[in-house]
Amino acid sequence: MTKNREPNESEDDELRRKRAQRLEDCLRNALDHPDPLQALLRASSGDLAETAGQLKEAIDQALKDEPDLRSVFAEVSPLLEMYLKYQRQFDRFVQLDHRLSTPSSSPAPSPPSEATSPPSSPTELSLAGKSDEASEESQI
Amino acid sequence: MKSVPVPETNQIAAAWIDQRLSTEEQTLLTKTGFVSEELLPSGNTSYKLRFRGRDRRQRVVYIGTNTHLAEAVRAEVKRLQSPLRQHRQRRALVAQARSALRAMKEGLEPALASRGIHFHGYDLRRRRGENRSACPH
Repeated sequence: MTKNREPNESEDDELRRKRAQRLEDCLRNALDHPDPLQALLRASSGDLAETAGQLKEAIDQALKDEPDLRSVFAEVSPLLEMYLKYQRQFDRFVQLDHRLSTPSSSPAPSPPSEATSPPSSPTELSLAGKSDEASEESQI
Repeated sequence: MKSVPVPETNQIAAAWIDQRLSTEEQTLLTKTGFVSEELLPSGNTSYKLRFRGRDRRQRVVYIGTNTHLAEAVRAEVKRLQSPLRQHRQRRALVAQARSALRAMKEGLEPALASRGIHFHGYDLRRRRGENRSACPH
């Protein structure tokens, strides 16, 4: 199993530069938000994206050095795991930020049916926003 | 894997290493070893390849005063140690990322707590029956 891709260096560099620029803008503007929690969430999301970018570069480099996925898997696996962890956390922060930004003008959702969507914990409400948990429990 | 052309100087250094070190010693060289410089009373510089054996004792192989050969051996040692160096860099990056994530979580906890939100692992949750007015909307 080999990676079947010939990278276009200049295109990659351009994308990397654009991404870094956007990230810088995001980080610069994040802390100006009037809500301190949202400001922190946005700044943290920027930091997460920055580190995720470094992890992705390390993964790409490892695959470039050794395109045979079978032999490089053990080497890349911790990086991939951490990269996915960062992406999940980024997603959580963005969803919470979005929920804090969205006015809750819509009527309160109907109480959840315990049989169809049981909560992960009886005492806690998840903010994960999964579609199968689209009940009161997923709302903030 | 695509073959990368090896520069001629690296071939000379590889041959030099091949002649002087056993297979086991060459394996050790992928983990440890460097080229040291010593100033001689004559004003010349002598070069030595130093690495640690399995018994943890340092082995020294004299290279001589040829700067070009010494640089070639240094480059070859660097090339041999490159996979381990990259492995260590990747491991360090993962450790750094893990620690940054933990620090971020700890930094956010007070701000989230003021809105009745807390971390469950890295998931964000809110206690059932928590006052929703804590949220702006």
